Amino acid sequence: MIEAAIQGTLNAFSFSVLPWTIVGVLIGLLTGIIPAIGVGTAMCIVLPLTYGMSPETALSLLIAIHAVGGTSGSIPSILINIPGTPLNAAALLDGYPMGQKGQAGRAISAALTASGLGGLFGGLVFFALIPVACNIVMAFGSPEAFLTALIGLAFLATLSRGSTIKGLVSGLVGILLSFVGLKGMTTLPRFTFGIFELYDGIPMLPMLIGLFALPEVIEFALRKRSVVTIDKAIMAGAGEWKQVLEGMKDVFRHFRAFLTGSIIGTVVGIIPGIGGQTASFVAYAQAKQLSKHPEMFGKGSVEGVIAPEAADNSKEGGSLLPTLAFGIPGSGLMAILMAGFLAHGIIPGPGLLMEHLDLTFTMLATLIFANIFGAILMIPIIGPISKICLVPGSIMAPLVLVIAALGGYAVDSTYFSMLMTFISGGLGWAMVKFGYDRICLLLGFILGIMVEQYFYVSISTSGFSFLLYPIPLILEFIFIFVLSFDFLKGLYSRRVR
Amino acid sequence: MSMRWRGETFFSLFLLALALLFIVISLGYPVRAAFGPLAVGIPAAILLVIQIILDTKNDTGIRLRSIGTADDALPRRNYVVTLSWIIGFPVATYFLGILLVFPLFTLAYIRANRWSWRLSICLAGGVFVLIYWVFGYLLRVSLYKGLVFR
Repeated sequence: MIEAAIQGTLNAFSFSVLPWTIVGVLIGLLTGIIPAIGVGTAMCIVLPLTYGMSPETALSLLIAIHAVGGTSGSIPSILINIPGTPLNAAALLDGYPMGQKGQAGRAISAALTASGLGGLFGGLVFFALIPVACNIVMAFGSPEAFLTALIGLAFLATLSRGSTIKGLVSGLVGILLSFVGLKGMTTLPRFTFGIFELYDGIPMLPMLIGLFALPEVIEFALRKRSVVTIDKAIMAGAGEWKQVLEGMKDVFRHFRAFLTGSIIGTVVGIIPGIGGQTASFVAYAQAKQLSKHPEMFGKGSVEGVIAPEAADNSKEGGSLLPTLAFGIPGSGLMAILMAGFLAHGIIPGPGLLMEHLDLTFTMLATLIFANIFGAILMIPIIGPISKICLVPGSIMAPLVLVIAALGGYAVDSTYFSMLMTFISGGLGWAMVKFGYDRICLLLGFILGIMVEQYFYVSISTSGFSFLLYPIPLILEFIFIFVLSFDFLKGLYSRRVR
Repeated sequence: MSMRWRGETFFSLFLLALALLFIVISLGYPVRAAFGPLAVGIPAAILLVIQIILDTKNDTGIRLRSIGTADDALPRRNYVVTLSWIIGFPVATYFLGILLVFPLFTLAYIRANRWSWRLSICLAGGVFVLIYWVFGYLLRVSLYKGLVFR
């Protein structure tokens, strides 16, 4: 394992990988700053461009985008009271009041420092847990993999951010779509409707881009968002060096708030389906409880910025663990990242830690590097870069549309792929508009075919008796628990009331 | 009957039709190929029927969140104009190809939103460079020429 760790870390800093990690950091920082673009959108658009790259390079690029998206998302929270990403919503509770007091530079600097160090914390916890995860997955075969994928699907209900029925339906439709083509253990092309291009199945990347990028474009175009107005006094404070240094010192002055946020973020990240927003709000509430000045929260307390920002980034390390070790994406962004793995022929899950342990360490090293580098890069250019969040929607819409269409087309250079991007875009927009969940659909699409494949391998090797083996029995219990979690939670809260 | 209510129900009906299509087609497959789609399609259809009943009853107590990010207060004209741009883009690309349509679309869209000619031309030029240089030259993506120029 030590050899894999050294090899993986060296790979992360090799000449073929590091430049692309830096590109990923830049893309992640820029997309985090512009409200409503979304880190997921950026990852989807970039994914097809990574086809010619090695898995290490491509996945490092994606991890870097993912890692720092939340880092810069705090800037619009503090300056214009609009979170750059949903993960930064908690930071505006105290960040914006700080900006109004003329302390925008201090708030942004504290947020960036807490984010960078929080990412480091989450990465180190992930590193410490790899040996434990390795020991667990060594006992995994097809039956365990089948049940683990099934548990991933059970999270459809909890991942769904609205109606449980709609979440489940979205996931089930995703699974149905995954059956299209000549896939799994059948020798029959299914649901192709005579369309030759569908024999390989619905192309994942155009679907991914369509589902996540095009609805944003439609939103931009529909709303024709005007230029966001910004208070000149808030903006003036953003670039002051004295404030920037003060903000960095704040993280160490309020180390308890930082540590609380980091621990909560990591734990929430490890548990799939809870979501990053929960981590930052729980961290905020906990920091308030532990603070010597809780009355200052909501009025511009720097602790109220540090704790949620540390939680945002530390949860990335935590959520990598279930994604890589068990193939259960801990969040929506992890589901997109998982699609990236599959696009490069790497199946996240027990096999990954056994066969590609060095790749796991490459990603870990990239995660830590991206978090620290992202924060260091942002701090000196807070002032000028802050202006990017003012780019209006009527300019963003055609640019994102063109890049998304190109991304979809570049997958295999066919018009069909581009068309699939637009069809998926329409589906994604309707899902958003009518309360269905795109993340659940994606999760179903990714895991559906895996479940079918592992199921047939399991019954062909040991019949249905595999369901009675010790580890599968434990996994079945977890599966039932996850499925009934919402029901049990409702029952518990009714009893408490 | 509000527009959102109708749209929501129509979309649920569309998904139900999709699930039923998968179920009906699966019935013609051998057991191994049909098992997965049936095991997934039947619960999906049942859940969608429940959802449609809830929609029509407008049971807001169970429907925790049915509103997306799009604002229903937006005028219908906005939807028509936006959809025309979005649908027109792949249709125009099909006939005229990527290299011509993508920069022209950018130029037309930004001008239509009353930005200056200078900005519109600069951004359209940037898109042309992105396609021609990054995708065509660096990434060696063969660019679709369109039906007219093929």
